[in-house]
Order: sequence, then C-alpha cells, then structure tokens
Amino acid sequence: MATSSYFSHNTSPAERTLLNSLIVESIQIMGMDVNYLPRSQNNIDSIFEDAERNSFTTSYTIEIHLGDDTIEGFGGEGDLISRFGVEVRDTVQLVMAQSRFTDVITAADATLTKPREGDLVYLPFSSQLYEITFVEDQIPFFQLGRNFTYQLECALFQYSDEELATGVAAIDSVETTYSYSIDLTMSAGGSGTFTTGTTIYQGTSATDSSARGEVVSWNSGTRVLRVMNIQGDFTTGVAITDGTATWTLSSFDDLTLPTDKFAQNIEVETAADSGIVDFTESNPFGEF
Amino acid sequence: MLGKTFYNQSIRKILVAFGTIFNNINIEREKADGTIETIKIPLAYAPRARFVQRLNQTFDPTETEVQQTWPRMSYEWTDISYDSTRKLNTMQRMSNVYITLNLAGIPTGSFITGEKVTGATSSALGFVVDQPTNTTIALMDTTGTFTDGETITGEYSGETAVLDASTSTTTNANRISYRYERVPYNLSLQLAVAAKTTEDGLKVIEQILPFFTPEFTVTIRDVVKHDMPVLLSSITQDDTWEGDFTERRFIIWSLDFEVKSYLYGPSKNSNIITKTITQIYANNDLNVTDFTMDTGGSGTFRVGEIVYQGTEHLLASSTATVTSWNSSSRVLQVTGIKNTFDLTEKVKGSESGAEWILGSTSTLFESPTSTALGTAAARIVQEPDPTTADADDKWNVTTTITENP
Repeated sequence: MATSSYFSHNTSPAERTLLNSLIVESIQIMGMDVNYLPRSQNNIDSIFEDAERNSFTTSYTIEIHLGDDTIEGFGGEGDLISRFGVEVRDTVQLVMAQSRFTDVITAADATLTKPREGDLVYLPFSSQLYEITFVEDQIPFFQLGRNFTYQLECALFQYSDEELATGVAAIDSVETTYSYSIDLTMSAGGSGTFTTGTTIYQGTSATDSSARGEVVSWNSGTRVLRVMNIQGDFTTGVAITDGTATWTLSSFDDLTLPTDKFAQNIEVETAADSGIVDFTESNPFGEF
Repeated sequence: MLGKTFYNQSIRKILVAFGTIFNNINIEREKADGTIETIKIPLAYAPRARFVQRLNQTFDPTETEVQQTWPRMSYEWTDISYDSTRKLNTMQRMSNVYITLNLAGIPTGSFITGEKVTGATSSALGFVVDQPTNTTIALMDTTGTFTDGETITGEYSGETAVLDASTSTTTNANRISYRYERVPYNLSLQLAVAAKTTEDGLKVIEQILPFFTPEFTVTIRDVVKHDMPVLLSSITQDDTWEGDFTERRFIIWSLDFEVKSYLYGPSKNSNIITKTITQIYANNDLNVTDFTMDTGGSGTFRVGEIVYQGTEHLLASSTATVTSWNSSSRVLQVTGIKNTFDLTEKVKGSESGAEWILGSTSTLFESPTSTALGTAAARIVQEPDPTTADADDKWNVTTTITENP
C-alpha cells in the first residue's frame, strides 16, 4: 500500500527552509566559531595512496555546535603515555549546518562541496587542531525528507611536519612548535635581524644554496637562529643570510631536537661519545 | 653470601650503545615545489617515569594542540638471559696493573667503572677499575702522571674530585687488580618505529635493515672493551588501516634485537706473583730400563708386546712392555716394569715367542722410590729478570730446572 496522499510531512519547501533556519540560528546562538582547514595533498603516492607532504594553507571561519558525545568533555582515550611519549587521544564531535558550509566554504572554493575526511578543524577555545575522521550527514535522519547538518567525528591531529600556512597565527604556530627544527648559533659580528617565516640559506641565493631553511625564531641576544623545513647540510664558518640579515654560522648540532620533548638523540650521543662506544673501531658496513 | 657493593652500569652502557646505532636517521620528503625537506627521526629510550614525561611534554597546557608528532622511534629493553654458548671459564681472572688515586675529600657522586678519568692539570688519564673507598679510585691503563692537588673529571659521569695535595697517587707496584671472568648475557631489545604514512615507515626501515646481516657489531667500552654483536632477530609491521572510520590509523614497525654482551663481577686485588715453582713427580710406570741379553737366545722381540719371566704369560712372575729391541747389541729396552726381573732367567715375548736369557739391567730414568711431595723428580723455578721488576715493567724470565739425583 502506498503512503497516503492526504498527508505530506516531507515535501514542504517552506517547512524545510524554516527548519534549516532554526538549525542555523540555534548553532549561531549556542555554538562557537572554529577554523576549517581544507587539506592539500601534495605528491600523491599512487601505490600507497598517501600524500608525501600535506599542506593546509587556507582557513575558513564557520560556526559549529558540539555534538552529543562532547557535551561533557572531549571523547576518546584522553591522555596516555605510550612508548612514543605522551599522547593525547582526544576526540570531538562537531555539528555544522550544511547550508552554512555551502554559504561559507563552498562559496569560496567550489571544489569543497561538503566537509572532507582528512581536513582539519581548529578549536580556538581549547587551542587544539582536530582532524576530521568521518563525516556523518544522515543524523538527524531525513527530517522533513532532508538532512540539514553534518556531524563531524574528529580526532586530535597526528602531526607529521605538515605545512600550515593559513595566515592565522594560532594555527600556523603549530608548525613552528612541532616541526623538526634545529638551532643555529651565529658568530658575533653579523648584521641585521632574521624575520620569522623568511627563508635563510648558505649560498648565492635561496634557489642556488647548499643549505636553506625557514626561520622559526631569532634571538639576537644569544645569536641563536631556529629554522625548520630544512634542506641540505649547513656548514659552520659560512655566512647565513635571508637576503638582508647576514650572520656567520658558528655551531649547531642537528641531533638536538628543540621542538621535541620526548627525543633523546643528543643525550644518547653525548653518553656514547663520553667513552661508552669506541668509534675508532671501523666497520665496513657502518659508521662504527 | 653475596653482599659486596658494586655497580658497573654495564646494562646502561649497552642501552646507550644500542641507541647510538639509530639516533641519527633522517628521511627526506619532496615538497609541493619539488624541493627536498630533511627530517631527523626523534629517538628515545621509552620506559620512564610518567610524571617526568608529563612535565616535559605537556606541562604547558597549550602544548596539547596535536595528538603527537610522527614519525618517531623508541626502544626498550625487554628481557635478559644467560648465554651458555659463550660460557667462559669462571675461574679465569682478568688482571690489570692499577694505581690508586687518593682524593682530598669525598666526591659528591660516583665515578663509573670503565669510564675515562682525566687530570685537569697533568692531562694524565686512566680508566676506572673500582672505588675501594670514598676517597680512593683505582685506575688501570693509565697514561701520564697525575699531579698532586689537581682536579680529575670522569668523562661519562661528569663527576669531579680533587686529588690529595701531597700524595695523590699510590702506584701499587706489587699488586694487581683483577676480576673473575665476565659472564655472557643476551639482552633482548625492541626498536619501534611509528610512522604516519607507509612511505615514511619504509624510508626509516630501509635505512636500518641492510646493516644487519643479521648482526651489526658495536665496540663498547665496558669494564673491558669488547665487540658487542647486535642481532636483528625479527621484524613486524602493524598497520591498523582497517576498521571504523573514527579509529586512528597507526603504522608501527617493531624490530627485535638480541645484544650479546657481558656482565662483570666486583673487582679485587692481590699481590703480584713474582716466583713460580713447578715440581714434577715421576710415575714408576714411566721408568725406562735396558735389558742386555746373553748370547744364544732366539726370536725377535716386538715393540709394544709384553715380555715376562715365568712359565707362561698369565702366570708370569714379572712383566714389562717393549719399547725397542736391538738384536746386534742384544739390548731390550722396556718400560712399565711389574715386579723384579731376575738375572740368568729367560725373558719371553708374549707375542713374538722370542726367548733370551737376561744378562744385566740398566735403568735409564728412574723416579725416586717414594712419591712423597718432598721428593720430586724435577723442580722448575721461574723468576722475573730482574727480580725487582714491577707488574708494569718489561722483564725476562729466568728458568732454573733442578733434577733429583
């Protein structure tokens, strides 16, 4: 038996518009603004179906509401210590109006027709960067015959030297905080001030250089330049410049990982160098 | 039964040496613009106090912006077992000449057995054997002469101490430091590599595996310097790519290693042996006697056969074993004589059937009739030349052999 033609709960455009407006308004009243960061997958590996280096260079501000699973706090396994250090396995459930996604994000980038797994969401209130692991677009289930929200299942981002250049300082600082970086100590007598975000190099130019990197910070008092996105091998006694400031590299130790609080590369090396390992013994198959 | 306090930090050194193999691995990634970015893989010894790591890693509440940064590596020690295949003679001693440094006071910490100690003024150096007391350190393999009142520094421990102002060094010329032979133990260690992508994991793994065939040898300075083979015993990859979309994907490689190393007992010291006396006690069975036969006998004695006197072999009154027979001189050389052979009686060969009348006997080598310890057949005395030589001098050996008449 077909449904009754005298009753129709699922086809009224006016009711759908009203419901959508109520959803949008309730999120705008009770929700919060977050940053939506679409992922750019660079150098896609056609065998392993992965991107060698991902980048996030655009940020869209959009309002969300915390989902049912996150009303009393973040989900997931929380903070734990594993053999790789402290992990924070927080998860969060975010609810976003479909129409607002279209209005804000699709309008700016027509390729983004809906939230995508792998894109990031930055929560300003907790200063956390979440990765969308799954987009549920059927909850609530076809009210008035349509779905009006996206429910984003998100997990705290597992950072692996991805490029973050959104122009939002709080987001971009994740890259400078967690990327592999080294500290370069300069000799006295240099000139100028290195600027965060600029490219420094040893050589005739940034494109014709033996080594280069991106400035994370510059301490003129200690003459320590921290760089990330490193290419090539730096050489002591050779000038480093960004085209304006020029200082001569005095010393550095690439085993010291200043942005990694778990690493012990330098501690292990220092202990071994103090006499535990005899590096004078040669091995045709290795350095030891 | 045990109870002598000592700690050589051997396992700690093994863990450091193991970590050194993997602490400088880099991977390269091609960026969108085609340039190559280099990333060093963080490495850590995984087990640690939770509060220390918590304070190190997330004390600042803003530093929980991400779950964790990958790729990274860690290693941990999982097991230790005795290796009976490398068992050494436990009565064997490892001995060293040593000096004792006398300290002006008690240092704040401890020097580590095996570490290098250097004098700040003299640049003299040596390797720690032991710390017999709070104010003394025993060093072996020393180079140079330590200066009174100078500061010494342990290379590994970083410990410092000031030497006594007037008598900084005792040479211990007539003593040696020794340990009983080291004990072979195998340590099981696991290296874990976490990567966010398959490619990252492979970039790390392929820089490790070719060096293990299946062993990779590191020379380690423990109590004594030795080559320490590190065997790669198994490799597994755990990739949790299947499952619910909300579950995280982890790519973790686990490499199991077996490290063949040694543990050492406490050090002791003793006087140097400056004279050895060896006494040799002969066995009557080894006596060699010439039997000279009268003319008129018959047959040819065979070397190795039993000769006897009596009606037949089984009823012999005396026996001996032939070592040679000269038919021209009629001299039968025998050994292992049992009972007395009588002159003018026939000596018969048990196999050859030879029969000759014994004319006379002559003992070529005869041990004393008594086997008491005081009556050795020979005494060998060895002494250094010169007799005043210390343990670290070069000397010859004078050997004197005296036979008991």
